[in-house]
Amino acid sequence: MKIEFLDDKIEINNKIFTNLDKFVIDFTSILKKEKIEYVIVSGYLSILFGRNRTSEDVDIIVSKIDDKSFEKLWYKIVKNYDCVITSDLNNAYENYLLKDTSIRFAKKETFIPNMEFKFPKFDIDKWTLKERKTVLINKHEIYISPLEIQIPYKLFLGSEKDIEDAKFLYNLFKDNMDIGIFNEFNIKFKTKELFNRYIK
Amino acid sequence: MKTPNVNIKELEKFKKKNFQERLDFIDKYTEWLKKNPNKKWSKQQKDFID
Repeated sequence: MKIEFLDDKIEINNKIFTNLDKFVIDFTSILKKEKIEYVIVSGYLSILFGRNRTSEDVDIIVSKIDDKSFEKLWYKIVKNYDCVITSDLNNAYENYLLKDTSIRFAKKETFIPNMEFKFPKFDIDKWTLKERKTVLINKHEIYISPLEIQIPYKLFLGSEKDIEDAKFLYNLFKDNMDIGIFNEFNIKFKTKELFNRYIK
Repeated sequence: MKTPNVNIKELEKFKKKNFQERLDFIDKYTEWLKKNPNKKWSKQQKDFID
């Protein structure tokens, strides 16, 4: 596997795209065109870098925008996607996003895969958005969570699948992470023991 | 680089809420499956898994 680390970017070339990769690139290109900041978190990150499993959804944290900006974005998205939670834009914004509940967008006439779309809720969400990492996959640019927080968070979630994802990402990126920050998050999430038991 | 505060209690609460949301989503998805012909949902599944 060849992953290059250039400045603050992670570059991976000659990857054969999965349908999930294409789904992510297509959706995030809309956000990019509309200049909406986002960060992809959770399960897709391990799949992006080669873990052999699927996911029915991709988790994305999008910077909190006002209702007018959301309306503009909504109409761009629903040209090719359906919101499978509610078809009402105001309901999506007022009763879901502003109440810290995610909405989901899938390609028209489908349900899976879908983009689980939410605004930042916790300080860690805001930090993750602010410190997001650029990934170039075959020159397509997407933004992902820093691994320094993603791995401990996965351990915190604690299912077997999450621990496996954490181990997978740590094995790939341990020599290219800020270990100080990583250790800090392991302490903050109280995942040091899990890390020592399953990953180190 | 300053790292953010982590409120474990709040995150545990969020885990539970998120799990419930995922269960609710399964309800919506199974409704959609029942309403759609086999050719339609299985094509989606094939495209997804293959």
